[in-house]
Amino acid sequence: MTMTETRPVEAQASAPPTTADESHLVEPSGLAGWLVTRDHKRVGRLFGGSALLVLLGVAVVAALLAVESIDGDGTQLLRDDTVAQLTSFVRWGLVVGVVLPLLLGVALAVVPLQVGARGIAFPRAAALGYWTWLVGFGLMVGAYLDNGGPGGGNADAVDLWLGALVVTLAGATLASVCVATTALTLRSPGMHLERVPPFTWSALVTAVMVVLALPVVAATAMLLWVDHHHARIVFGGNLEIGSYLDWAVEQPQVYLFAIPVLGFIAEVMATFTRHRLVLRWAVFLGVGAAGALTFAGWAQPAFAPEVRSEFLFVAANLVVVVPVLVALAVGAAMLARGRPAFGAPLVAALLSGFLLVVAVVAGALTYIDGLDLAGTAYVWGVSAGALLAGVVAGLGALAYWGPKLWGRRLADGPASGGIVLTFVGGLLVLAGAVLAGVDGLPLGAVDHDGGTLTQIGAVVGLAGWVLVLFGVVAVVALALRSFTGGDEAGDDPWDGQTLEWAVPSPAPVENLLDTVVLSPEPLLDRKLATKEPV
Amino acid sequence: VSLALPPAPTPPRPRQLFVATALASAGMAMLFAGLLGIYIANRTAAGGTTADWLPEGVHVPGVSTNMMLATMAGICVVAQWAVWSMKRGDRTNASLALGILVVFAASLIVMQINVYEQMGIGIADDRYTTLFYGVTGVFLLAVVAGLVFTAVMAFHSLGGRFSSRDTEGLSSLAMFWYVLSLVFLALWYIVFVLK
Repeated sequence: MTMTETRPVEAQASAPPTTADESHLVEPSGLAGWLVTRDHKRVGRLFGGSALLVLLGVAVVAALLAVESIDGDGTQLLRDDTVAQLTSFVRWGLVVGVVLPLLLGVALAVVPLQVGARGIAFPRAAALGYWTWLVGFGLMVGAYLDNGGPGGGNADAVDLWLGALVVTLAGATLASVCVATTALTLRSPGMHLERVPPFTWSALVTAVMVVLALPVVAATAMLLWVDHHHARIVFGGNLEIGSYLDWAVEQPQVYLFAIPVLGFIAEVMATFTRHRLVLRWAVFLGVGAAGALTFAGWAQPAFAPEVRSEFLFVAANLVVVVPVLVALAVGAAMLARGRPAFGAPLVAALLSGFLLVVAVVAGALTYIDGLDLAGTAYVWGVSAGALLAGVVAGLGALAYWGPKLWGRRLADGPASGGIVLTFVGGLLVLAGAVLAGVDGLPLGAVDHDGGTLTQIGAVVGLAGWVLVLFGVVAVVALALRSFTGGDEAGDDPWDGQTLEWAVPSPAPVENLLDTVVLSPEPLLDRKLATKEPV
Repeated sequence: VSLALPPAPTPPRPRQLFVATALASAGMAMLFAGLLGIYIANRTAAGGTTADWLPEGVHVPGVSTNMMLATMAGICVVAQWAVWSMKRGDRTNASLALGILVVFAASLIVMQINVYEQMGIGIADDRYTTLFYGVTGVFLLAVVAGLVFTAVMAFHSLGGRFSSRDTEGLSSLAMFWYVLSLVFLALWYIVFVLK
């Protein structure tokens, strides 16, 4: 007996597109295509590419600050009054200029493919989010160049920096709304939330938490702007501004931007070990819990200094280690079950996970009484470690999903080398700042009394940033090369399990996939059913 | 034997706009949570709701601010009226409700400006006045955003985009105003009543 059921969606999808329908499938070519694009993959690439460009600037400035800190008695390269601004540039640049847009870009490009959607929800809003972010961050950089930013001497440029920060956050929030809406409403039939790929889940958690957390940062920046522009009687002058916003670039808030790392690890482990993700519920629960625990808008030390020694805050800092460890333990368990295939994404997953664990565990010690680490360079070390874990995962995502976006693979060996360099650099940056912090170097300072640990930390940090620079340049160069040359990747270069690998490479504008999902690994199911190699 | 089943019912349309508006509204609520949190923190640091906080001679006009609260309640009613009407295919009533919604929202702006004029304070007079203008100014921006959203949905409604089976745009609009009303309720109590 044959049972036939006609699904309306399939019926519509199989109907030949009309001329009007086909117009959606064509993007303008050349520069115009990038400027007015509605294709989520292009918007994602714009976000990611811009973020990596910013990272180069951040790494150079951070390296200069490290050089400055090697000899503690006075400045050689930089003027005294620029140090606070450059430190602020590195911290804010790494958060809102690099890691947030990098991982948001990956999410914009990948999430619709993973859930089987024809595109991102509100594609024009997603593109607007990118341009808003770009203009906002560009203005932030302009404000720094005009002697603005926290600690800047030009009051107008300080105002500009505050306004630009709000614009930057608004752009990132808008793009996050698009990512979250896509994951919540545009999933293929049968793809319940518990069946979404782990990266999509981590992107959803991050996007929702970004929507909840960044407005709190924006609220502070708005009131700072009102006060600084008109009165300067509530929050003080330019030197105090940074202290009201620092919580947003410190742990635990900063961990939020590294949460997609956990999803990326789970995703890559499953693909490279060729096993279904084990303890899926634990990974999802861990990622969700990590997202909730990172929210720190309620604990702004500038308004309530005592809050960071309160039980709830300290506990949140300690407990956030657990979900991260759970997610990584699942990854380790998967590694133990099978013989993983080698590849740059796997290298990135392993190393970013390790760096994130080191950062989060180090971060758990920050607010323990008696260690006196709060307010020192140690805090920056933890933040930088977590954020650079995000960068390592971002580079891994480039190697993993790049073939789907532009049709060619990055050379595996060199890409792995670049990722390893970035990881070692990240580890050294973390270690250098931790050493300086243990030696008592205040957060954001470069001058010191010649402490040996601080000096060693500065050298280690300098080496770290140089390695990060080389690593990122290497991977970006490989990616640029693979845009135009190299072997074609094929539709499923990694023998994947999730829907994005069922779409042709490079994925067409509207992804062209209509399917019903019956398990978390629909492509794996199909391969097993058709006896394709798994 | 071949047995053909009838086509499955049309799957529900993904409620993209509704979900996106819910997320954006949650973000807006968090924005005001941040603003009011800073306001309260500064008020507490100044000794709480005492004379040390409110500058001498400054009086928050109760009638105008209470009228704003009543207007927000009215906005909730007419927003739901628009949804209710459209669900019954009554475009006339839906359009009327949207028109009244625009008038109410515009009157909120007028009332807030009137509050500023009655209070006669400058933004740089005192830490209270700076924060007062900061918090209420951002609220005005949110009302303007709501007005734009309402205007867009009104044009869609007049253009025949909504029907008794598709009221998502109007439901999203109503949800935005509900959340903004809750935000204003908190603002009204913290800033206008407790001061």
